[in-house]
Amino acid sequence: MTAPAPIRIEALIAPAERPGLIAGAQQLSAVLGGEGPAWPVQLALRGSDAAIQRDPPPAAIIASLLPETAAVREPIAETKARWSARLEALSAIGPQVLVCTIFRHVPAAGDPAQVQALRERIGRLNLMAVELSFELGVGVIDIDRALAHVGGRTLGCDWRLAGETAAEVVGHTIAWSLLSLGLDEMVEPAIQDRARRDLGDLHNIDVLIRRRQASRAGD
Amino acid sequence: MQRLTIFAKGNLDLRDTLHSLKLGGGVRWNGINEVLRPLGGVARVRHETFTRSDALLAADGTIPAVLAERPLPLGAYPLASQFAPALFEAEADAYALSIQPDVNVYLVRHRREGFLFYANEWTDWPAADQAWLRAHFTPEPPLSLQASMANFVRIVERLRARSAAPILIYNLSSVAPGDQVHAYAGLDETLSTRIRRFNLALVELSQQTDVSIIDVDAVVARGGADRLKYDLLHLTAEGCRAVAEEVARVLADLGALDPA
Repeated sequence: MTAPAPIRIEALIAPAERPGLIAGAQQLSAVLGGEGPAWPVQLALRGSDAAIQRDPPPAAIIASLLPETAAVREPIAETKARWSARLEALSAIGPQVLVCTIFRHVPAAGDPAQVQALRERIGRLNLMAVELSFELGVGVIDIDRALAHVGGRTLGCDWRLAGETAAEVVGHTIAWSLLSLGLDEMVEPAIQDRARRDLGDLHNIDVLIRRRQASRAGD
Repeated sequence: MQRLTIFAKGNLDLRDTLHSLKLGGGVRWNGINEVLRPLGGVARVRHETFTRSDALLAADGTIPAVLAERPLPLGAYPLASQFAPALFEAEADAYALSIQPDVNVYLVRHRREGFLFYANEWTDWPAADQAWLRAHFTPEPPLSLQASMANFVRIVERLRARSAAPILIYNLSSVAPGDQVHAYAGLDETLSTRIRRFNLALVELSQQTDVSIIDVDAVVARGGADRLKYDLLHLTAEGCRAVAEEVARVLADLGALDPA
């Protein structure tokens, strides 16, 4: 039996998102492998779009909106114009492009005006992701929705994504999104369907986290 | 103890969080006084349902005769609250409203007389009343974001013309339990996306008119939709408490709980 072709994911993300992306790759590898060996998943973390390896094309390109929180004052129309051009260029490489949203939980600490400005910026960026998905056909890895489902207080995290549990939830969202959108060229649909069932939906995320924590403890 | 009257013009989001949440015959949450009493305050909550901002502004105190002469099972949306609302007449120490009606309430318009009407639970009406409704009314399209915010500016102006009491407006949590959409190309606007747009527009409205937002969206993201919500629009008892605490915090920040 031949080994499955490695799934290579090119990622343009913020440092805070790396634990989540790594967790996602591990979860994806495990569920695609099923009862057999883990499916090889390669992550390439890139500092710029130009650094993406294009030949052979990756299985998916993941781009994050989190760095855009630094530009709180930039009009969203300008941000969207930049991202529209960028995503069109990335999509021309070939594989599915997916955009990560930003967790909306910003603690009410510090200058209230700055807190409100950041919350508004995150809200506009997340809506922009939906609009770009509608207009350009890119996928959305809705980290915001997943983390809001569980809750910032439960996870012990905010928009900066600290913590192991948050990383696992982010990872689950990435794995689920890739299985839903991005891997048809490399993985048979039946295997993807089985992998999604094994991954489980967000309502059972605690089961997944306990399983992975037990697995790490046994290493 | 500081006593205040809150006039709540809204639907289940306001009633459940401020007045009480009743499920299965029992009271699951006993209203905002649960969190106000430790702060030295107590509230009388006067609640009135809210069909939509355009209907509210059009109401002139006169119930159309074609409705008045036909007993319809309107439940929590009686004709008086639709056509003779007390919001602009009542004295209150704070007014609470919500964007929820404008987000997802659908109205009908009388074909001849042109008034707007909310036919609450019309699919459960007797067949004759359903036929009458179809014959005399036409469905109204969903309210646009621009129209909604323009209406809220006018609502705020009318309230401010007679009262300096704080005006609180609830936004909505856009997290829908079970929502797993990952690609939006080819889809109509989802309700979750519509809620996001309205929430952002409410921020602009707040900056323009100095109303206070009760950020239900932030409250739910902090506590978790899994625990605080039953579905897209309805809060659990724990969710009601969390939102009531936010209302109390905002009222305290505005000085509404300070002794007179």
